[in-house]
Amino acid sequence: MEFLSNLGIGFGEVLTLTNLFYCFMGVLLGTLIGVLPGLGPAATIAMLLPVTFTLDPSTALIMLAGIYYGAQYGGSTTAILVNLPGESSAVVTVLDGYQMARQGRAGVALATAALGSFFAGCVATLLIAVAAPILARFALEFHAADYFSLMVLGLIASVALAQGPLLKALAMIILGLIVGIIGIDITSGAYRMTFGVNELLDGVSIVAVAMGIFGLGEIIQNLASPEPERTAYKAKMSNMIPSKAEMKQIAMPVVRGTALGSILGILPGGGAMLSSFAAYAIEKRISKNPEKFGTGAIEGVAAPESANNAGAQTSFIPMLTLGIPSNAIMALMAGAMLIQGIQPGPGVIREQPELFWGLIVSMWIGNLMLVILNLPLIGIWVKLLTIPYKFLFPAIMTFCAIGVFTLNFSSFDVYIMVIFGFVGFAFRRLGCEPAPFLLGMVLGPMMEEYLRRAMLLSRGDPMVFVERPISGTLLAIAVFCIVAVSLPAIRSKREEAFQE
Amino acid sequence: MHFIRKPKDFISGALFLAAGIAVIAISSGYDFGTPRRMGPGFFPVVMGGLLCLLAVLIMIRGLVGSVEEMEPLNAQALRGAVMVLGGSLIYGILIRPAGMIPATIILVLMGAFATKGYGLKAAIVTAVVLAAISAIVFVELLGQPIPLLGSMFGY
Repeated sequence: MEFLSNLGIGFGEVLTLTNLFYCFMGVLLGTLIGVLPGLGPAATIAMLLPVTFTLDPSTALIMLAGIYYGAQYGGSTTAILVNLPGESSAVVTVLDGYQMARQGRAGVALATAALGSFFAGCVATLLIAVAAPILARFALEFHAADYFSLMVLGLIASVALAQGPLLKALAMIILGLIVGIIGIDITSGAYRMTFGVNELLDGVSIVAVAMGIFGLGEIIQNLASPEPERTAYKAKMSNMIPSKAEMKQIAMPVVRGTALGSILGILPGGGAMLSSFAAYAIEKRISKNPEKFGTGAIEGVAAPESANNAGAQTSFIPMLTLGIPSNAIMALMAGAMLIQGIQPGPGVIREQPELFWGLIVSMWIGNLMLVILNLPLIGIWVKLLTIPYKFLFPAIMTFCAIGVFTLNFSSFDVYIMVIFGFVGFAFRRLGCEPAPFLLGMVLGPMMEEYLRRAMLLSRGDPMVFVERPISGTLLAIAVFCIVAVSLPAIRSKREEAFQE
Repeated sequence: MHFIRKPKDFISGALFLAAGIAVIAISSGYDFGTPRRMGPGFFPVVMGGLLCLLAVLIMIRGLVGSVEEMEPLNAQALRGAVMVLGGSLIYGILIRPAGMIPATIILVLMGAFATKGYGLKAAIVTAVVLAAISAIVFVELLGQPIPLLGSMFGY
């Protein structure tokens, strides 16, 4: 009964004109940037963060969340019609989706992606509603030491599961932790690494850093490689509705993709992209005729498209219940909450039930809007794809510049964006992914605070981290992650998995 | 450069090492405290130390194993980075004294020259359109207090 009344709170929050409008704007914008290659949800959310400051916290989060899962819907459209991933999480959809389009089954492929995503969205929403309160109640038992270890595990697992060399990712995390604590130390009041700059007293703005790394960084990356040919598949989409036989074919892949995406989304480092890759690989492995994959197998569209939407949504669980962002987008969402004066963590459900349940219900409503909207609007999305990138990126530059300036109406934040745009560019060239840096930056101040509290309670004995059962277990898992990834046998398997 | 087998690893390791040393040097000026009562210097010094350790491991890895050359920096990539970052930097410098409209126009013009295929006319039109859109959306509709024209123009 409690569950129903909670959902009631959520519906009460969402079913206002304002929140429905911003939910709609979020998913519409999400689909738009999902369709457009070269503009991802991380950059978009960073650009829009300053605009959301004037909104209610729940309205702001509803819209920003809509951008992330909306992008999962949009990404498949480009993948199927143009043979280009609109979104990084739609990379595998290209393989079979475009082949289906070439065989004249574009409509069926698009409908499969949309229906699979919708099913996954509903399941993931339900999962959040059921699992998050349990996890949050469990987290209230956590002591400072447990929290610290949980953050360590979260950070390490996020790089162990993600692509790229482990050592460099760990170094990027630590660099992020250090940059995160720049400013006034809340405990002692000491100015740390502020170099006498007043603007640094409140710390380095996460939003400005994210706009530099993702907003400007993406543009620089896109400009470096020549623009791929974009020819949208032009055929009448007469039969959108999958036949009975096709429905049968996609049912199990959708269920499997949803299950896999839901699990991988919760894990640190997970989220939409990892889920879609894993789902495709598994479908191919268990299929009776794997040689079909790559030639227009409908399962190859259904499973990853369900998985990426499920993963996008369940990645909210650790952020909302434990305060630990599992990927760069969740780090930005956590940043948005902090700016609104809400500390992400187990307290959110108790202290802000309207916000929490409103966000969850909005995801379901957003998915409903997406599946209704997406199919009729495909014609418009295809038209948008004919806009060349050279007209798009100056607009992105402009919005980044205005957005970052309006954070504090200070040019200083613009300079921070430029500096981190350069840092991101340089580190990408050196094979260091900048996403872990952002995770570290968000968690830095919290980790220091929990470390300090844990050590105070244990009277300076570091053994507390090993002796407390919860903390000890979490650290053991973290060590296991590092060892597992460093083992040569697994390392090659991991690289192979990402190659696929 | 036979000695350095993987320049990507070696250079990034060296950068991390430099950052780690700098952090330790700066933070050693703050009160370190004791493990029980950690001062403001504790966390950054420990993290700086960890960073140095990882940095050395990364550098060592750059010296062993098979050779992996760095892909050369092509002119187009460099041009893009310089124009995009430079344009944003100038925007930051100009927005107060010159105002939003001139700053946006210069930003977009510099952005346009980050890539081939922009004629001067197309670039100017794009710049003017984007400046107008941002003036309407951000200043008129959202009411952000940004001067359209700054003190440089006598406002």
